[in-house]
Amino acid sequence: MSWQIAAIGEVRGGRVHPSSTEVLSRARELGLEARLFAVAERGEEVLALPKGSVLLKTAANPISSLIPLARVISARTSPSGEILALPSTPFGKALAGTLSAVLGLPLVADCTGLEVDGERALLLKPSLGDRFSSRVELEGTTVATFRPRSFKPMELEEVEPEEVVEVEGALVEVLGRREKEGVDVKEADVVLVAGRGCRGEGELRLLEEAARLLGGVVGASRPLVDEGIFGRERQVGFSGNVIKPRLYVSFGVSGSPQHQAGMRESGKVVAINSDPTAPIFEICDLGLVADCREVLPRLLEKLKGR
Amino acid sequence: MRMAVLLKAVPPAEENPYDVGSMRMVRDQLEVNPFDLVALEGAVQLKERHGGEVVVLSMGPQGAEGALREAMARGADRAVLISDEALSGSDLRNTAMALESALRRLGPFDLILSGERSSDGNMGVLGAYLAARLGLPLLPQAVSLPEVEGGHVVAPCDAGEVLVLKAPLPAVVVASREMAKPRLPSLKDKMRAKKSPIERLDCASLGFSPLPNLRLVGVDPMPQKPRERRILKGMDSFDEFFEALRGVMGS
Repeated sequence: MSWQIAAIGEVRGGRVHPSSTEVLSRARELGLEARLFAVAERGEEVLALPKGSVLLKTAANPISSLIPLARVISARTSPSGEILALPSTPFGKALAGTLSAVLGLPLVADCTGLEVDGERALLLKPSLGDRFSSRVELEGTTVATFRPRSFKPMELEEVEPEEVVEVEGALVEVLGRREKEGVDVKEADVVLVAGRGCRGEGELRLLEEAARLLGGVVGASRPLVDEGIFGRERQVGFSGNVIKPRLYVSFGVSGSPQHQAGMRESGKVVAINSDPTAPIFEICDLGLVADCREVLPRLLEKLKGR
Repeated sequence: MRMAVLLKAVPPAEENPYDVGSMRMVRDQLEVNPFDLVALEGAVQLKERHGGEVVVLSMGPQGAEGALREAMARGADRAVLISDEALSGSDLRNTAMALESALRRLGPFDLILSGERSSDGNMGVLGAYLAARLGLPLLPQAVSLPEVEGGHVVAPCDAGEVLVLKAPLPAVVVASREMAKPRLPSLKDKMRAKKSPIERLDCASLGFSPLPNLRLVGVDPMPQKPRERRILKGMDSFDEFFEALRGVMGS
């Protein structure tokens, strides 16, 4: 069996979800044939697509047309040796489950790796708060979702799709829409995380300012969310958001196993905590043992001065 | 209104329940997947508002009974456990197909609710799978309690942006973790739940035979990223720290 990849991704703000381009770049590294199914709401402008793409246009938000989308994709994929790759986003997960059910295919969700060696294809999937990683050997066409930032991204240049399909039918009606309130810690490049040692109003204001200067966002550890200081969407940790930013900087976070499961895969980890025995120091690249209340004003001074 | 809540019994988050030799999870001590408690709470609140019945349905080992009793203590009216040696180690597809057979057997339901993901598998695709198999509309990641009126269900859902979605009943609703705050059961509820019956189903009673599972060829401890662990101490080291931070940021 020779393997090929069908990356399926939603288009938002003119761009296909980066996780889909990451899968395409992985396919290129592995020397596999790959193409993209870009899914966009009719009227959405699509700014960049790779060569040979299929553009699927839905009447309303694609989440309302899952079963019709699965049928259209089904007619254009191979029943043997194809990996249908979707991002682990709300849309990607919903369409992955639908594809598996409609096409009768096995499904591996939340993968972080793909290895192909000749006839053998393996998916790597973490489990139990990312303490273990399972290797699943594929035996035929399979649906998989991948965590964002699992592979290197790829720049897209071509625009014209090879085929455009108007997808008809919807089981769900979209009555209204609004942008999500608050910030998306999962997608941010730089995340500054507030913990129990950084909870005063003054500190949090400085932290927001530092995040702005660094082009990042502020997240929070679970105790601050449980106390209602931050909303659930900001929570970093296994029961909140599992994040993988380029840079993670924590302020007064001790680093419980629960928290570590939500940030362990971050690019660089920097930790500030007054307790030298805090577990976060065991998994950081750079640490400072100091009180955040003293660190933050100095940090801002420096950031503004540069 | 009849509602089914899908519930998974999972090992407690802090335990270390993998037997690396057999590549199986050791499921001795189990609790309700915390994300499913949110779905259950949503269903119980809808029952309080509209009347009806809440059936919790789980597939798992015998040891999952305790988790189902926990659900009874938190307001479920009926608990059904699908348990069969042939289903041990089931992958997502076999799990979902067993649940599907049971839903067809126990139904019809007006609403089927599930949690956004399980704390052990972290997949988050079960609700969508079942909706497609049953041919029902899906409201994914509902961020607040659905409104049910005139044979329809409406809920704001997280799809990257927040979409207010409307679907005719019956429908599948996936509860995001923000949807509701699970209540704590009282001691009286716990005592009552202890004596409640747990109904049993197995492959024979469902007329279900599982497909081959995914081929798991290995389970490894997650490789740890190597970290530099350069720890500086005290505010006297702040300037050194800041220089190092600039280095880390690549600026």
